Amino acid sequence: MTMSGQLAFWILAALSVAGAATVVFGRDVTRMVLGLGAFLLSVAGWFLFFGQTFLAVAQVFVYVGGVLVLVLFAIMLVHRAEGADPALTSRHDVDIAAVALSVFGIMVVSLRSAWPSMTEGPVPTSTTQVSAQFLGAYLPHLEAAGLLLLAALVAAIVIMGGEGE
Amino acid sequence: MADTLVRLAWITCAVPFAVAALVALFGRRLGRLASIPSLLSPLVVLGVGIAGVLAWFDSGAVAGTWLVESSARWLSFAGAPGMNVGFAVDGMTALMLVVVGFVASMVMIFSIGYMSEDEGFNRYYALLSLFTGSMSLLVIADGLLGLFMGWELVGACSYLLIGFWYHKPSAAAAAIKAFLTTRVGDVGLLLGIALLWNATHTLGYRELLGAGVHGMDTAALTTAALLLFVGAAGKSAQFPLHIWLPDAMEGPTPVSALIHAATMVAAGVFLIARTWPLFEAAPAARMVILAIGAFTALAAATIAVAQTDIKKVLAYSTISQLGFMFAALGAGAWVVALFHLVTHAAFKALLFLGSGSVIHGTGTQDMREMGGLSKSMPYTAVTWFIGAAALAGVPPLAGFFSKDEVVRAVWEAQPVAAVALLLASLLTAFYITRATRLTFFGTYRGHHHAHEGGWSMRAPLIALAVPAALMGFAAGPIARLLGEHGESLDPVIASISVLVAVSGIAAGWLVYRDGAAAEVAMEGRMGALWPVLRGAYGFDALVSRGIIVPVVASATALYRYVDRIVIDGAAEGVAWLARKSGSGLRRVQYGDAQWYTALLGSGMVILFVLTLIGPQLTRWLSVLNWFAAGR
Amino acid sequence: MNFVILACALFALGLYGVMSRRDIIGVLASVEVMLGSGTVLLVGLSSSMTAASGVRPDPGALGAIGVLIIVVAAAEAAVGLAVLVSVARILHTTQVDGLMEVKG
Repeated sequence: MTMSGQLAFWILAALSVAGAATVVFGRDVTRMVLGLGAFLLSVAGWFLFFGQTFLAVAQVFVYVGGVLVLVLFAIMLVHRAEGADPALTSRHDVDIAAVALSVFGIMVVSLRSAWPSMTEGPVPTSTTQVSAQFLGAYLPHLEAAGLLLLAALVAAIVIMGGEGE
Repeated sequence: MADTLVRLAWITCAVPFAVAALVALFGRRLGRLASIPSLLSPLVVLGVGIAGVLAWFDSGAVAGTWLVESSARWLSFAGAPGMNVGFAVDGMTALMLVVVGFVASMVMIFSIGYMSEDEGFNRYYALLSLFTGSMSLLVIADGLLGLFMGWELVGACSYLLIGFWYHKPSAAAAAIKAFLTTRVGDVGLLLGIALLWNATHTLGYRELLGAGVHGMDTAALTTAALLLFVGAAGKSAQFPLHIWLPDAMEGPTPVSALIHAATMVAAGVFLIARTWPLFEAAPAARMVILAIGAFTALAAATIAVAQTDIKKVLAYSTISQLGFMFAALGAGAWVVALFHLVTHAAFKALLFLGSGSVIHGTGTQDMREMGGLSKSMPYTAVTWFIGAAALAGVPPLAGFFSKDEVVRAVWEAQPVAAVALLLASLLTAFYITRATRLTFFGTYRGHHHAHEGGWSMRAPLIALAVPAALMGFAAGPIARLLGEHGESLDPVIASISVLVAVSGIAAGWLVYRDGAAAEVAMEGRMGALWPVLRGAYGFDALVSRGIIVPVVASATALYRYVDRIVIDGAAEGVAWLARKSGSGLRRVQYGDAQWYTALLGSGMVILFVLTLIGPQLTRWLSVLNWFAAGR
Repeated sequence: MNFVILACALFALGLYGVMSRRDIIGVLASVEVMLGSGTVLLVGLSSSMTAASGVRPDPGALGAIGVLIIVVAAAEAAVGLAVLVSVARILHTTQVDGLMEVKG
């Protein structure tokens, strides 16, 4: 791997860890949302890093542009309803930490056989290729995903609107 | 007719048990009439017994045969062979049924008058019926298993009846003492039965006493015989397990006549006679029985001499007479032992009921407060004289014949023991004369107005006086009932016996010429010996100090250290663990989604670890299997 | 050079957040972290293994699967946030302690 590749890896690693840590340990809602945004951006960066340009774009559009805004909206709604201090609390516990650590352990152990040896860089994938897949082999999946999104949309409306009537 | 009744011998248990249940349930409504249905129990026993006697003579009276045998397989499950329970009747059974039925009938009739004032009238009769059925079960069982059931049931009835007046602390204590002391013997009996079962895989008399005993080696036979004797000694109050019987006098006097003189205490003698082939093959065990029997006969007679309580005199007399029977058994003369059992049942039941009549009439048990009762209680006095003379061995009354045969049998086996028995006979004549003089002669020293009981109390005395007087002439038929031949009297032994009896009576008559004053004089003349005798050699205190106190102390220590800390600790530890795990497990299901997530993760980890170590685990398990299977 | 360890660590971190956060918002955000790290792991492993083994399926398939994951995650977020707002309205709190009753 090239020098710039290594640099990109470490920058992405630092960004994603910092973002995730803020999400998990942060005490302030706004900062937590910012951490989540940083983490989602880093994920998009990872996609780029692995040559999935289309995925990276989709990640930024859907997550950073959509979900994150949605989260912010939700938080503002909630806090208006709650009218309380938006400080976040956690229940830090040895048991929970042990469980998380063990899961980490078994993931590492079980993926050891699939350890990648990155002798050459990943092959970039073009949007054309992804589109071809979606209109070919993955057409049913695309349709299903559309249906799922529709269902989620309707569900969100129903859940939110139930109170108002 | 007789055959049919014998074939229905099980009704001797079933009817009394049913009657006991009915009287216990509905007796309160019946009031004093509860005694009428209760009488059915002993009459059924008596009827079956008489039918058995007749059928036995009809069938030719061959030893080792049975009139009827009926048994069912029991406890045979999961491939275990199980064991037989059932009943079997032969001459000996019939004889015992007659004794039990007759004495129980007399006692029940007597109790109508004796217990008429008592609150627990129906409880009393229910227990008497229960006892009658249990005693029948003990007698008609076709093997040691059924015998043991009856054995324990009569023990329980004895406990309940000794403690009949349970509000009296002394009665409750005596009941517990009797129960626990006989329990010591019962453990021996149970061990003996277990040993026999282990050696022969049968407990039925026919197989056990036939092929079973012949297949055992001498050591096992002797051990089994000695263990059975421990049981017999506990039930029949032989040294050193005799201590419960004097205390058992706390029960109602008719109960003492039935249970603690005629039937239950004789069960030990019956047990050994029933399993005689076993003892015949174990001479060493017989020597032990002879020694203990003779010793008990003599020692108890000396104690009886100094008692002032009329029932205690009779209690020690019973122990002494049972000693005679065991001496006869030890000498090999089981027929004689059973003969003495039968005559003793008659005259001792008579004496006990007589004492009951006296106690009923004077309101005291202390002979020093009696005297001159022959005038106010003539029926009681005359029947008592017959019983006393029979006990003393005056010819031609029952006791003379049976005691004489006992002495002769023992003389042939072991002259020293025979001398001890003769000495005991001398003392017997002495103490019963003493009791007679103190009670019925001289002037009345009590405060209560002495009076004779009603007819319900007089009739049994008269009815019992007949066998007490004449049973001696039945030696031949009784021996034939047992499948043996009666023997004629030995003139030498008979003369010595008569001499002993007469001198004992004469000594008692002369010494107690002055009634209660003579008792005081005896106390002075005998010095330190008298209190020792009266206190039964302090054996109770010895047992108390040597056994009870250490046992209680160690039990207390066990309780304090082992039970409290180890057992309770473990129990409470388990409870603590359950509580802790319960409160821990509660978290699993209380609706916390995050906790569920944590469990999900843990489960995933555990599954993964199992997958990883699975092959090794299987290998280890197969190694364990190999160990288990390979051995 | 082990992005696998990194992705696993991020996943475990998200899991820890899901289990420890007292607030539904925190829990949902942590779920997003888990999802993101899982997708990164999938995409990364797929790309690098394709490169290493020389077997070359159509690279567009990976992109298609990745898009599907993003779509599902977006739907989950939409519904989850709707539930969050609804709960906050009814219970006036977003603490998970108040959410222990599951009743129809």
